[in-house]
Amino acid sequence: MKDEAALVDKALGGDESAFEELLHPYRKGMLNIAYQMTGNTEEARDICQTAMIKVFKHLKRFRPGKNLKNWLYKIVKNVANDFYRKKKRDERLKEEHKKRGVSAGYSPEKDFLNREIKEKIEACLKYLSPREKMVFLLRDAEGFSIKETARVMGSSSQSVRTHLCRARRKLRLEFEKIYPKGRWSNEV
Amino acid sequence: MKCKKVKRLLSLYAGNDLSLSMASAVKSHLSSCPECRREYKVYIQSLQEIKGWLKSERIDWDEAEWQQSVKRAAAGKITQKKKLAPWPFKPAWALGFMMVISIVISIFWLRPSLFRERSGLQPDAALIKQTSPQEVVEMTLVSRETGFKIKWFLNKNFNLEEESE
Repeated sequence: MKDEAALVDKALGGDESAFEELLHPYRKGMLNIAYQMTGNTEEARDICQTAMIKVFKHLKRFRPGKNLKNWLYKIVKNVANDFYRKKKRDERLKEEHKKRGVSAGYSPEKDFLNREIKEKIEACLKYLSPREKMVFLLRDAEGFSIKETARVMGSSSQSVRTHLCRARRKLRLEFEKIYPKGRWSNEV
Repeated sequence: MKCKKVKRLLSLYAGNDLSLSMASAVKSHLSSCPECRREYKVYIQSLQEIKGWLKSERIDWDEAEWQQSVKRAAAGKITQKKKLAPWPFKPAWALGFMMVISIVISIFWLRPSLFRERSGLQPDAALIKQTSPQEVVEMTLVSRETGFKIKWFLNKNFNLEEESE
């Protein structure tokens, strides 16, 4: 925590390397949350870039006693929400994205299995609302506690539990569509 | 605890998100209800699988790209700093200042000329001499042989105003 405070001070003084060091432990998590929210690598990077600019701009507002991780994820969440809203407004862009979505993360080196997994994730997550998706990703993909998730979401723990419950139920139903029920009845 | 309530709580129970007392109540129900137990297993399997997919799909920054992003973020701060400049340098204030300065300039420089044009007065030679001597042209002709001098004073319309030897 002391190191974090010192790094914040240095970054406030304009030290770029201190800023980089401050964000380094969370860079992968931030990118992946944005990636799962958009389903597109480039858009995820754009969201992270915007979030980082905001973090740098508002760093003086950050109080050293507070949890930097929660604060960073909250900013990423807000930027991702803004991005989602803008995207929703423009239906034409949305359709374009859908077309690109299937091949967004595709690169020649990615094998068929990865593409298949990506499609499965998209099939499961597409029925979640942005809030449900964010709660699910924070709790189950990033390993945040319910309290931490609530802080990032700016809501109560009860609200997080409700959204998480809905998200998991929807995911379970989608999952059963991918793998028909017969498979489970044999295993039970 | 009844099946209806347990089924509502199963998704949270599958992710260890229930309080201890609730979790133990759900657990005891599951041990005696095969239908709820089957649903619970589906929750567990689906969660595990989806978590696995998400894990395998995790992406990371390319180091150069990350460094570039940090630089861009820092540069973003610098531009923001410029925006937060003291009040005389804010765009609205700057525009206001420019307007005031242009009005002042127009009053001091444009108005006298406009006044002269509108009044239509032809200034006489004496006035020209006193107020704007640059508008009176003086020409001196000197004879090489006799040393005789002729001075001509011409106004801006090249009308002869005065002549002397």
